[in-house]
Amino acid sequence: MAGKNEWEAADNFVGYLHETLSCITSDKLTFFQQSKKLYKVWFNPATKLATKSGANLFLSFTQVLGAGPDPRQLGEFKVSTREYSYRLMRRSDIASEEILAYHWHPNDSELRDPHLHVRSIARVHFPTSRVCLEDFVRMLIKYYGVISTMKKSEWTAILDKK
Amino acid sequence: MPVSTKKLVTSGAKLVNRREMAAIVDTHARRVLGVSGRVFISQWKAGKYRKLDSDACPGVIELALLAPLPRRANGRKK
Repeated sequence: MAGKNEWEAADNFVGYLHETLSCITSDKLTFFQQSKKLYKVWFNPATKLATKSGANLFLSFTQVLGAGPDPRQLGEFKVSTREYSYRLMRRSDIASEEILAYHWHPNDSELRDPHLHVRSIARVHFPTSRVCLEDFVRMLIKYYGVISTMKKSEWTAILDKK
Repeated sequence: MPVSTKKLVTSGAKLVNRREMAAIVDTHARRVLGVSGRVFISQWKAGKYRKLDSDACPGVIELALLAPLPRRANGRKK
């Protein structure tokens, strides 16, 4: 996501995240500029997801974004994801246990590679590649019965174009 | 240096300022670890939570991502 400055690039990136998340929720993200080059975006509180079974699930989504000059486009700025946490939970409370969680937090602990937590298999960090939000949203719809806010042709078009 | 929040947000996101962010981190820290945001940041910098992860303490990773902790210039560095 490009922009004429760091702020614009970050805001454009959040718009892109909103489009992806709009497949499953109408909630808007919270956005914080920690510095010129560092931004944080998350759901506050966790967003509620309706499922086909009638039960509700909750998504705690957090990304840390880094912004800087785009080396391929002189005068343009770009944003990339530096860290993320995607947690699927049965309750909205941040301290509640997750069903599963995809994490990448290379700055904050001894475990610096992307990994997956599965509640039913505690204390195992399953190694993953960096998981993009589109794939996570698609998994929620396909395998956790999360009801999309839009027609299948619409959400697949959004998730496929990224 | 304070960061202006009087910027245009075209993405539709809810923009929070530094004071609101500090309150959010404080609330999360109290809920997840039972300490204030300030104490969490201090203890994190001292290495107290280095081995703590989501299995043992659900929510601690989100808390660490949101808190103003030191970060490397390149997050991919091992």
